[in-house]
Amino acid sequence: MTTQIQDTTPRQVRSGATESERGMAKTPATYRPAVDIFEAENNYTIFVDLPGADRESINITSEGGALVVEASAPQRLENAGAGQWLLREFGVGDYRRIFRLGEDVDTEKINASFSNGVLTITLPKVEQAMRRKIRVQAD
Amino acid sequence: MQNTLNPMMRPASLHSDMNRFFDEVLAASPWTGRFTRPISETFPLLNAWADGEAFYVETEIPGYGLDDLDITLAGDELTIATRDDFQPKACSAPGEPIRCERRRAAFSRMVQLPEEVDADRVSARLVNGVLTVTLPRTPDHQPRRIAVQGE
Repeated sequence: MTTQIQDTTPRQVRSGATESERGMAKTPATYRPAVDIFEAENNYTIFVDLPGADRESINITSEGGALVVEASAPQRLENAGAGQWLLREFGVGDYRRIFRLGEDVDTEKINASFSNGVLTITLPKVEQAMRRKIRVQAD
Repeated sequence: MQNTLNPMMRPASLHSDMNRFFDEVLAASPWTGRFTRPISETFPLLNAWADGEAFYVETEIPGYGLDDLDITLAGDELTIATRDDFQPKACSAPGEPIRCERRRAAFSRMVQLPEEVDADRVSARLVNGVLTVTLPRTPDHQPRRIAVQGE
């Protein structure tokens, strides 16, 4: 199977769970969210874990064959005031992940929903690609 | 997996460095003794902090619902776990999976609190995939201002 959606997130954007600078710097760190990707006959579906992100902060842009997903989660302890850390295993900050789209994605019809900290992006395939596929099958 | 909440805990960066160190050691060694899995596979990760009013324990579990969870307090031990009857969802959706990175397994994490809390007023909320458990401190343990009397 040819994968039409590829992850092209730069290497320096690390996995959220293992980042060490988290929370220590004044500028929030950027984390690489975990994703699941599925390809069905008529569309692709991408699930992106964005725990703590504000719905309003989620930004999905498609340009030049790339799909960029960005979001940010507000700092929680810092907002709570004068607290004292007891245990610190993960950091909170921005999310960013980039995907390279195949030509079979209809970028005009991408839509998304956010529930329970999970962003679901549906990417319909263009009609032409579907027709081409049918023709090949007929041969 | 158990953690003792210690205010003198080492900084997060060192914590991560040590995890990485263990990961590398474990990956390189065929020995499977006491440490049967890399520490960074710990899921879910926890943050905890305290103020004068309460202890707060927080974890990121996107995709899990309140119905999936079992949160229990026994003495000074807080356990955040999936329910006994929790069925891990397979990585499936309409179509063929191309990538499956998201966590969906059953889990159980326990933390030992520095002191006993007011068990009747413990509360939990799940917002946008972030679970926060608030454990109010008992009056016995809350910091008290002691008036110094002059002559």
